[in-house]
Amino acid sequence: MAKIFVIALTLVISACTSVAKPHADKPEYYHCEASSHTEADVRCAKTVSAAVAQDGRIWFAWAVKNHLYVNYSDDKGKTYSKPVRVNPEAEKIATRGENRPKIALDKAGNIYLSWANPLPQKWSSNIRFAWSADAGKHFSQAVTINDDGLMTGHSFNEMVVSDDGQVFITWLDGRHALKAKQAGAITDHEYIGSAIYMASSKPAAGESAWKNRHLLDGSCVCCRLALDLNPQQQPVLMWRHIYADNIRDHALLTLTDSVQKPAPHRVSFENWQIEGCPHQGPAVRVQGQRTHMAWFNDAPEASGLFYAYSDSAGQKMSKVLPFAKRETGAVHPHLAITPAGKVLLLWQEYDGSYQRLKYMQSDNGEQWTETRQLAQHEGVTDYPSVITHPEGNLLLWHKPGYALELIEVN
Amino acid sequence: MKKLICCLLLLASVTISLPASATETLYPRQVAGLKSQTPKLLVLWSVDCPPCYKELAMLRELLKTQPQLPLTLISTDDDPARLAEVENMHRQFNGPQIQKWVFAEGLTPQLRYAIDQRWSGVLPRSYYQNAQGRSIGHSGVLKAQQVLDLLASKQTGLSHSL
Repeated sequence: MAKIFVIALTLVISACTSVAKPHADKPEYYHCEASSHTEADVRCAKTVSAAVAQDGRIWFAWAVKNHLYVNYSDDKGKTYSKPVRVNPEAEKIATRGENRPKIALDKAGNIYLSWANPLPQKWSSNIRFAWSADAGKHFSQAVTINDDGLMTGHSFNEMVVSDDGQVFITWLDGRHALKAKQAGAITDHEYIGSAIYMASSKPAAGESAWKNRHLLDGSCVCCRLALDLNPQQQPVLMWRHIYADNIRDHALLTLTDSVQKPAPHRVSFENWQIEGCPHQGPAVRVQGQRTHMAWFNDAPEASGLFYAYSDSAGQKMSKVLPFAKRETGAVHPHLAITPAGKVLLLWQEYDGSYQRLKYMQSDNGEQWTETRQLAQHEGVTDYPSVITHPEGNLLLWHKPGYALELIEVN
Repeated sequence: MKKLICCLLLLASVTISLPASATETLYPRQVAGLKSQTPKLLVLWSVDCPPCYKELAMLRELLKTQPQLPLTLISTDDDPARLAEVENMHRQFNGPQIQKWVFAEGLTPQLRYAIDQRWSGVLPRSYYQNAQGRSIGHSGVLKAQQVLDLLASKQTGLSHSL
């Protein structure tokens, strides 16, 4: 009996040892659900966002179990600092697909975070904000940015920060849809899509008010917004709009203080008619007077990923470049302008076995390099983004369950 | 003999306590089998998709007049944290011919590919496989009349013929 016990024990020990042994070639998958020490572990995050400080420090933000965390790397991803918790009090944090926490920095190194906090009622959430003035050691108490106090949808937050610390946050807002629905019980009034709101403040200058501005109605309800700043430090917003009878094309808007009634320009014309959730928002980057745009559409005659630019803030568009066909599984385009002034265009494809990350590069959006593959992965991935680092561009392509790995984009 | 009766009683009580038709986890290897069942209306949906709820409400109503509707519901919510919400919805659909599935965790890319290489993930997404094995795909909310037309082997108003 004792002999059998010894053999069994040996087998168990040997099995445990082989499980614990790190694999020499392949990164090890981390089973978050099987560990009690996963609270701040980036491997347990579904999505990771990043931003670069003036000194080259790369900041990361992610959420696990109702807390938002940040940490940084000073050596382009070789080592990482200990994570710091942003919200001491637990609250739900949307961290799925295109609805995820955002991080941004100003020139002074202040760190800004925004996220959507799901509420008990279905499809309802608040837009939340916190910031740090001491390089991420401490964070302000989180505040709610939407000012309606309604249990309704406020989600898909996007955030940009000007060099001098003016923070712009925009989001999809359901307050008008809710009011129309309530009124509809009597008047049968119909409200299509979501509203888009924007709020701005300068926390580092002591401002704490976030006056909400109703920009427009009729946005698609389940696609991310895309936001950037132009050289005048004005927000440039792109989104999937609902035109006419459920045509889901894209619009572009430059926000100026002087314009009371924003006048968006329609910038895509694939005429994808659908009453549904594409779950794919566009990408926008401003380079001088040129605005670069990329998007997904799935119309019968125009399906896949598209790119175009405009030198007139969307009034007049360049010829559209269809750069990836839907048959390749091409989704989620991402645009970046590098410190050297190059335009990078990234997207994901899937071939039945691997998620493949493709990219191409251009000087100004007129001529592009051939498509190249940057990385591949067999399992689930987050959406790709490029960290435009002063010492070279880095790909952030988070794979839930695995440690962060930054890949140089040459 | 007593033991056998006890076992049978225990088994019977377990069987009775199970929901009439529980949600099953869908793996890529099972997709071909699903696609081979005809006639069949496959409806893909998610708890994240407001228009999907509009379509599901239409299907619930349609089942009142078409109780034999050969419906298969597939939730694309591969997160176990959402299973309760998925099952709450699925419990509203009952009938011996109705199947209910949910994507296996971490296998969304493989499942999407196995179902339809051309499907971008847009929801709701549906497929009607007629008795001759022909499959017709549609993105966006289906209307009751479209479903009735499909059942009558008409193919009007659908966007993609596969």
